[in-house]
Amino acid sequence: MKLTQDEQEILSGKRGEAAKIALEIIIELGELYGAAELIPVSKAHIDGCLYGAVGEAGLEFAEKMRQMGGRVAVPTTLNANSRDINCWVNHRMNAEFAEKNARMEKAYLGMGAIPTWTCAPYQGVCAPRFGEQVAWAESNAIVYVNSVIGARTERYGDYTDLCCALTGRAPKFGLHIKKNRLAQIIINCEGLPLKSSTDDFAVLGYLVGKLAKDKIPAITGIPQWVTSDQLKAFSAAIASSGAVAMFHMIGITPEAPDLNTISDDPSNIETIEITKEMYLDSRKSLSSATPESADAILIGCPHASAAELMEIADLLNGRFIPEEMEFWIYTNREVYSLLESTLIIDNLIKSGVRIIRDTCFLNTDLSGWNMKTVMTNSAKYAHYMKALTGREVVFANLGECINTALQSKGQPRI
Amino acid sequence: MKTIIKGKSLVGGSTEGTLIVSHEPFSFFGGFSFKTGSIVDTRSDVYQEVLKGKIFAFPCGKGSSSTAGVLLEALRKGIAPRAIININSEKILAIGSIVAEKMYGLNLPIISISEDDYQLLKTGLFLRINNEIIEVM
Repeated sequence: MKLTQDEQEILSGKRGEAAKIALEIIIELGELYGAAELIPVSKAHIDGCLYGAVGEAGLEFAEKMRQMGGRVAVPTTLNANSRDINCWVNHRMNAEFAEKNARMEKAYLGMGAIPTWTCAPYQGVCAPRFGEQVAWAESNAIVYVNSVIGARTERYGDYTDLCCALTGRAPKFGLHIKKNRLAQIIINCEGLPLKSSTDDFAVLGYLVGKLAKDKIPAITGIPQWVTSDQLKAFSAAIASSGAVAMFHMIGITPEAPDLNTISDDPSNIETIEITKEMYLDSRKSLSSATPESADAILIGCPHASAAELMEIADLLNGRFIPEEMEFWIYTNREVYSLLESTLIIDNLIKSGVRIIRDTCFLNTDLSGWNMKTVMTNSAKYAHYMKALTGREVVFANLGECINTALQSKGQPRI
Repeated sequence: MKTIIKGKSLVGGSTEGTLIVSHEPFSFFGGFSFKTGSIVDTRSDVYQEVLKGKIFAFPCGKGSSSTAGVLLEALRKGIAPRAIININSEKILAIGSIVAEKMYGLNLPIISISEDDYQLLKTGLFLRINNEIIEVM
């Protein structure tokens, strides 16, 4: 691989042992996939900080890099971790597990990362600009940042993220290069009556991910009114059922004003038309139980935005959730503090909603809780629920989630 | 008579073992548990298989970028497969193997083979792997 003087200096160890090892790993990865050189990246997003997902090895890796003097070279945001940093005790978390998380947090913060603790960093203040070269991990965030924002990242995993952050470099391969960002399959959903609801886009994303596998799909027939939260739900779903790292939506995403711009020869690309039946099958495949069996509602995968929290507060309208039903929303600190100045957080809590920051239902310690069947409007939650938590799942829209909660048994909490 | 398959060695190494073959995209995160060492994705065609000591083939990756993390922890605990065979090997997978080598001196060979050769793979076959060469015994 051809290295610049700067990169040779990192490799010689002049910038510390951690940066040297990080660059060695990036070079090795780049060479495996035929990269001839590295490129500078100007932001990184770390997924490897989820202790619940990566276990002891991930903690050892982070602590080792920090002990060796690792320091991020570019602004680096952090994914959700495995505990609500302020409220983990209240959230019935095992103390030993929480302590491991605390070590993980310390390691990454010690290397200079920004404590965003969110899986939806693209909706926050650190979001990249169009065309910016970045190194992002977290499958839903990779898809969103490539597709909706038009920044450029490969589908990076744990550890590559930190190595890129410590060196400010990534291999010049894959989606960092413009010609590799063209559509490889066309998915036509013009016949679908999509509603302006995140669950509709989650179902669609889940289906497109299955059809596209590891190809870049161009999706036609998406209405202009599609929102950031709906595209977030779509991104999370497409990256659960497929190995998709980016998509185009014609007339919606910035690199895709029309089919000719994202393809040299659109008439020669495999095209699949999504029928209503395929769509309904996809929705059905996300549930493993019936709505009556739900004893918890889960919202916020990826992390709920301010708009989503406000919508839930509106729909609840001060009504109380009975004590036999758990209603949890996962969000991040940025959203939470934005709304703290209003009565929205207060009102949600008074209604019996548990608002959890920093973390994720799939990657935390749930030993203090015995809910058996969760209802959610997130396809990503639905996809991973059984395997990661052993719980059954019912996929539903937000209105159904709220009605199910309000109609459950028991006294109001307060 | 033994069959020889020539693939592309992504991460080199020699090993041997019994094959487990899936015909669906696979994610180690949400697909494999480093607590139990087995496949936990109920939708998978190799659900409940234990991977330790085996050679694991699946056509391509999918899902979470935590696959690298899960794989590294499985290697550290000694419950990972001995080698991985794909049609398309994802970067997310490769990095788990690269970091395992750097941190723990552990080798997990990863080989990609053609779609046609992949059809020759059957669960239960015994394979001997030497970099890009796969011997089907």
